[in-house]
Amino acid sequence: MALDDLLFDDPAIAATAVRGMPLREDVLTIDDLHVSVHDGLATAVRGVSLRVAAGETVGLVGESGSGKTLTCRAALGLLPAGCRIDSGSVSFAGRDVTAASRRTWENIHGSQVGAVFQDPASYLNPSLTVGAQLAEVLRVKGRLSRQQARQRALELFGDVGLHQPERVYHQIPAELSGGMLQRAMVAIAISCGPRLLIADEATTALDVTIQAEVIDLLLDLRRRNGLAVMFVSHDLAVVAELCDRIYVFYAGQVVESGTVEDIVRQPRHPYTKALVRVASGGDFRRRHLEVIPGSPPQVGTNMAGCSFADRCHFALGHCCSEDVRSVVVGDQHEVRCARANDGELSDELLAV
Amino acid sequence: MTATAPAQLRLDAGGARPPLLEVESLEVVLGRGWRANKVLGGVNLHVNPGEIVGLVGETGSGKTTLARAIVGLVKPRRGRVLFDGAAISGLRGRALRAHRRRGGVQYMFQDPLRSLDPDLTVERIVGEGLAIRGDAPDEIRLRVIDALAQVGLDASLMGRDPGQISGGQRQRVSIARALATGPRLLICDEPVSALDASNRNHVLNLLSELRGSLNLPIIIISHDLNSLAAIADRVVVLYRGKIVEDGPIDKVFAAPRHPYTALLIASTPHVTHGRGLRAHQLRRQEGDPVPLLGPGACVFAPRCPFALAETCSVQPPLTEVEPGWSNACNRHRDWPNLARGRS
Repeated sequence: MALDDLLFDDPAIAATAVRGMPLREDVLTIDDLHVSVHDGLATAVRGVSLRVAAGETVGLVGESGSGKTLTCRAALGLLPAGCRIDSGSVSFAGRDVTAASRRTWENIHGSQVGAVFQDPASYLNPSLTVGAQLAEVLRVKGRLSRQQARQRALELFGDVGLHQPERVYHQIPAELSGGMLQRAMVAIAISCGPRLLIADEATTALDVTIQAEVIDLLLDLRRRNGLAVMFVSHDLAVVAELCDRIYVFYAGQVVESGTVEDIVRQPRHPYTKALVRVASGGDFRRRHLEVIPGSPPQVGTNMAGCSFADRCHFALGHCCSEDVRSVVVGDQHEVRCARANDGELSDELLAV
Repeated sequence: MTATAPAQLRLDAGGARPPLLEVESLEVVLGRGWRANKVLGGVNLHVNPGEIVGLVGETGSGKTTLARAIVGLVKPRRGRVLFDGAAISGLRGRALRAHRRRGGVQYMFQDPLRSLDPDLTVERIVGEGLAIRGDAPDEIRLRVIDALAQVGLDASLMGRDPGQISGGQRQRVSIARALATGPRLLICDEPVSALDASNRNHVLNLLSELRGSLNLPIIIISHDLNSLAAIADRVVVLYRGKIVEDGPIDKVFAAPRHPYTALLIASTPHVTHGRGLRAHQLRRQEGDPVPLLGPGACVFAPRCPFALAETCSVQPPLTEVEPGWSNACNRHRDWPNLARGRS
């Protein structure tokens, strides 16, 4: 649905892009990333490759423990203690930062990539005003004067839809509601003009009405500033509302990727299909709610073959023995399923 | 009907069943002095036997306070709570203790990871209410196994503690704990907000089955309207301590009569889009007139794009617009057309 419409809204983008071709350069490229946890005892991210093009909104969706959060932490150079990139690479605009020093990351944060997380209150100093915390970033990273930083901070607060910037500037985090805090966090994250915003479960703790407002804000920022967004969530419905393309994570791998249309309307992986069926549809009917039987494998479980095979309704004998490779099945559509080219399965997935 | 007549008598006398729970003009104020905050302002609510009622609204709307007032964890300033025809909001001392130990109303708290005692085993958690009531140990054990079976958990889990089981299992332990005393009304506070979609659906299906097999009425507090629509019979929408809409869930969600209900529905994320109103058509936008409203105005008016000084300066009472469907909006006839006309 939205991809073409939204991208080609902007005449400048439409003029330089050709439909169906890779539209623009990538702002973030992750190639065959492996991340180990517990000091190398288990591998939680197993060969993830993904890319985010300039001005694109990309969603990472999967259950807890599927490796989506670790992937985005690795992309931010913020892996928790005990976690390490074993192999693979992370690059921003073509520049490899996999082994970047702390100082290099400091330069990347803010100017190339900004981030917002689930609980905004825990990322802000509770005793300083929100305005002072944004102005500090602008003075240190943006090298603005005190006066300029204040001006710019007020503009940014306005840009993220805080209605009384002057008032918010002088308030401490406890005086703001969850939605306002998340807006303030977005203001801080985009203050130094990054080309990519990483949002990890950024709307999960918010009320639905506020969540919808934050999603509209991110779409608006993309439209106005060409900001690319990588949005991580366990909720496929939220991701589908916001994103152009989706990567579906399962047990540390990307099992399917494609446009929202591909994922929601023509899923080719049985897990994706199951996710679509349990997610909220557009109708508010009385119905039996679908579930996915079984539970995802524990991190570090040694699995031969497909990691979803034991929960998969369509698994055959060879699913559990052969290593499964990603197969290109459409323009931007890839699937990691042993039966990807099995016409019978795709018919069944479309039918149910 | 009189509040003092025993429920059984009324059941036999009339054809229509009386509500099991009645909340009458309940007012709750939390805090004192300058901190005093009127969390509930005159709430009327009833729950019929065997009915699933969804209670929705945003953070701070008073959903949890209402539920806590029903079980007697919060003292109302005004109004009454009647359970089975008897006022339980005024109970004190011995009478209150006796009411609680009967376990007729059970409350399932938010966030099982924090509300279940991490030092107790699943068996102790589920049987705690029975032990306090003074049941015999072997009887407790049998009822615990029974309650766990009702929520689809194996008795082998009894020796584990809450940290050793998955989130979905923890939520089901919470339900088993509530079921163990044989309640006649179950109140679930955000039973699925911490779960992923598959586990959420599993728990909601379970609640729906329990309603079927035990004829157990359930109040579910949730902000996930879409999954609530799958199992609930009625929805009650709370905004800033007032009920703004109360009616059959299918009808309300198909054509809400309060703009706040409509905003909640339009804000719910979906994988596919319906043709209903979009959220931005129901939000106040730049350029919308801002009516001057004093205290006592409609609670939603400050956020409502359709509020007018002439019509909305007084909070409308919850009025029945058709049998079983009431609403508190002075412009309920006008706003849907206005909303459709907004870009």
